[in-house]
Amino acid sequence: MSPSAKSVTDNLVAELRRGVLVLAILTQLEDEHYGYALRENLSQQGLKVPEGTLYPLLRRLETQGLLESRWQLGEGRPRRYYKTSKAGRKTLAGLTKEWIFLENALKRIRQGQSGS
Amino acid sequence: MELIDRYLHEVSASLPRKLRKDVATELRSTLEETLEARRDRYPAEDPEDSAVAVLKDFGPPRELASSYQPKADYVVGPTIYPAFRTTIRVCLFGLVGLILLGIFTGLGDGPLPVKRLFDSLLESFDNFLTALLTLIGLVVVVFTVIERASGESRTSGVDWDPRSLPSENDPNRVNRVAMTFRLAALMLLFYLANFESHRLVGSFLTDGDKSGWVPFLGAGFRESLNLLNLVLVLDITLGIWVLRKGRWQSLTRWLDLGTTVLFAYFLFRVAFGPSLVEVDPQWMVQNGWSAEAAARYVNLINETIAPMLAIALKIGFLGTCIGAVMQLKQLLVGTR
Repeated sequence: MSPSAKSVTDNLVAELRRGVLVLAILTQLEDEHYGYALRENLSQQGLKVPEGTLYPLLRRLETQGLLESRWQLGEGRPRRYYKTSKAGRKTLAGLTKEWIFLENALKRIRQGQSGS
Repeated sequence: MELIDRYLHEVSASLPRKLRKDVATELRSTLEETLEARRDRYPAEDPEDSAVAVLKDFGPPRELASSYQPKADYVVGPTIYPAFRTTIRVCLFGLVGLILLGIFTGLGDGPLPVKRLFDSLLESFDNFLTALLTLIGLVVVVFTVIERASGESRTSGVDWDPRSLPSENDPNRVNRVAMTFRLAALMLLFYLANFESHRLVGSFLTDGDKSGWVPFLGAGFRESLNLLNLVLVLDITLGIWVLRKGRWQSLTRWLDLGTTVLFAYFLFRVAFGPSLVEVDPQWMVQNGWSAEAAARYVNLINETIAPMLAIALKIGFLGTCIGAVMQLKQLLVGTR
């Protein structure tokens, strides 16, 4: 693969992952998590998230009203816990529906190609 | 942990003020947790190497800070907004001061000046609104230029080495807000000195039925303008350069000293040379003022305004010389 083709592929993969990441985060945060634990969970399930991407994204989703957060300042280090909000759950339902639709459509397209 | 502190300091410095504390607390907690996990995984690894590896994963501080902000194409971005707000306030108060100075120097010593005061206020309010709108527009343009010109040079995440992070108390770190404010002040001064000086420095006079604006900048000002422009252009160029780099370097410190010395020379020339303010009585008479009014005004400028300005300029010259000596001392001693 030429360097420019690789760079195009890398960009497309990054875009694809960004879209999926929102879906994964909203799903994972139906149960409350703090940033580090969320990243570990996603990583254990095969979705590695660059450190510099996750925390700004959490903030953005919170600003958009899709997440809620609270600080836990008790013993040990302070942690900011995030949870999918009511609006976030609605968005998640819509995104999941769209994801299943796209997945099925893509499956049919690929099957059609391999059959021809 | 020192590397983590330096990293957080750099990230915070590039964030809008309202986000700083919250983001830094969360990042510190996460960085420490990630570092602990890494040490558990690689117990034999050198602690500094562990910190370097963790920080490299988070990426260069300015890059991380920028991802916390919406990717909007700002006219005036959040980093320099505090300087923008301060500049607008300073302009507003400066303008009010100049207008009031114009009104009260123009009232003279006639009988109870209620009617003249009212006329002056009315005329000045009109001037004030026009000048205020012009000035706000100008400040927005100046800050747009600074926002575009001061775009930080980014280091790619691959090449970035956390060991190169400056210390928290690094004296060479550029205070972006202060530097932006300084640049805006220099650019505004350049514009005002070259294009608006005669509209801003003068008095609103009334004499019988005749009233109007009489500027009082003289030949001394015109003779010194080229030197002032040179100082301002050099200082603006240097400021933009330093803002882009984000840190003072030895060369830029010496150049800064050079511009201070040049500015001191400018102040010396205007403080001890021909007066910056003067009024030509013949010009006033030709423009419809009575000879008495012209004489009274010339007297006011020569007896009051010019000596006061000369004292202010001499104090400014002395202050700039002291500043230059302190800069030189810092260069020779402080950075060793």
